Amino acid sequence: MTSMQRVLTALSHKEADRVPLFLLLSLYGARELQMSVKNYFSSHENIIRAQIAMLKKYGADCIYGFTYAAIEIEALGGEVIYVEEGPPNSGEPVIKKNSDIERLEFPKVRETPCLLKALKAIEALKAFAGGETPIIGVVMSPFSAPVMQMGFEKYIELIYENRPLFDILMKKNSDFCVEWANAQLEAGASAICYFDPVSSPTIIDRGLFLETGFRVAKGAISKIKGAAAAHLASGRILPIIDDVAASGAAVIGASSLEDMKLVKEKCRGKISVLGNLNGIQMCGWDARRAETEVRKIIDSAACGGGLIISDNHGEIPWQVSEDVLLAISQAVREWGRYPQN
Amino acid sequence: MDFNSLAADFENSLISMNKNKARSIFKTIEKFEDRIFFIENSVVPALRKIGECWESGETSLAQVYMSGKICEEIIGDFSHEAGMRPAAKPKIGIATLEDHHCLGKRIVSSVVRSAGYHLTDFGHGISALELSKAASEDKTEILLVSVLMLHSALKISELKKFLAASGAKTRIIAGGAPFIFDDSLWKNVGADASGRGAFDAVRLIKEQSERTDA
Repeated sequence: MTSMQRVLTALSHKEADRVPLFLLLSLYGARELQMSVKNYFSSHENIIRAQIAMLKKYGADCIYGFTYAAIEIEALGGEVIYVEEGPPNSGEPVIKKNSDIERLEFPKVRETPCLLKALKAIEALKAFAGGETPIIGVVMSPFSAPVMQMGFEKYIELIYENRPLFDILMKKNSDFCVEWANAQLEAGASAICYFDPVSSPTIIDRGLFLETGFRVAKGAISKIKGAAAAHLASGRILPIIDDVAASGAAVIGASSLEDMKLVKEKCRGKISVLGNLNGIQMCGWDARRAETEVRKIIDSAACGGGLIISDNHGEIPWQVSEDVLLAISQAVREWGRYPQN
Repeated sequence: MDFNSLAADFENSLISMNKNKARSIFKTIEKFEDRIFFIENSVVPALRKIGECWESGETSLAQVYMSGKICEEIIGDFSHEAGMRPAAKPKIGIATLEDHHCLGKRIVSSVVRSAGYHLTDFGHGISALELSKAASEDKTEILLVSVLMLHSALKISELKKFLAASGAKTRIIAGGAPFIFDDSLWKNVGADASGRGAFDAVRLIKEQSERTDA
């Protein structure tokens, strides 16, 4: 089976030859090429070279088209802060006061250099992979992007205290999100990972989610011309699994804070699960621990398909050793074969 | 006056984020001593309970943030009107190390101020070296360090070294997402303690303060 066939089988809630593995390697490409994170992301050619090298080295079942979350802030003219051995972060908010929301203007995706860089990388990776390996594109959800756009505190206050202005921001963000997602699909991405941490019950309660993040996700995902995976970036998901499935997402990212068996039971037949290796603890693992953790997930959730093994956050930290990644890959091959007994 | 019923109503008003109701409940308490009693025995425990419920997944971070903000405003106004001054000892500082996401710092600040402490805010996006200098100059005894990203959490070991090199005996309490996902991370980076949520901050300040005094 090719990786694409394996993944599609899993997503149709059937058992493939083995459980698929997504190693979500983004800034790790800089480590692979032994260059600074800033230098790495300065050229689409670096991304292409690293993604191909890491696919061959670790043998995962996807290519990750993700660069960094703050690229969407960069597109707006905002500040991106580069650090050593960590993901680029957004700097001071581009929305400094609520009145800035009405003046906020997004650029056209295909006229924005930083986004074009990411699209060029996806195009070249698609040419390399053909139809054999899925390429995952990434967008920040319109509902979660404001954390970077205006800061977490002001955004929470906006949600509670100024719903009309919140709706204006959601409309603008949704239009951009859909354009950005569809541009990645046109460039060759097989599916879109819709990062939406604010929708997690870790951040907002379900009642508020149904009024806000759910409504926004349902609208945006319906306009994205491909499959979408909702990823809550380590946030809890159990209380909203049915809602996320109803929003149109085909996959949901699970938190390492939750019992994978419970998650799988609730997802079974409705939505596939991605997860839930603990990316922070992974930095201190050895090969044996990696194997143990992979087996735990397989034992809890592999039966019947509908599972893709991955980290719980959507990005492998720089500090994880190559030996651990190789051990994860090996363990999936050894213990993830179907049928499971 | 039925404090238990008032306390329950107050807690419910926080969970539903009804600022006006919380404020009006507090104002029904007329005597200064009763208000102090209510803060110590109802407001602070309510914040702790909401924080504990967040850890178990029963409340959201937005509820934790908004309830802390409401309490900080109510108690701040009361303290101002009554001419009260927050406790100057121990000398507490807070910062978001390296990162620019300040929600954690803001929530912890609200809880700590609501419990009657003064704390110096050293800002966000600050490097380990800058923070060590600021804390040393301020003679900070307990430094609350909030982070969001793993690489920022790892910078705490540098902060610890810089503080030690300057002769400061500042104790570091670390908090933020990476510490929730790895229980042993705070020890590995050389922090003196870590909380799983803002509600832990007051208890940890008391514990670390006793060790500073010892």
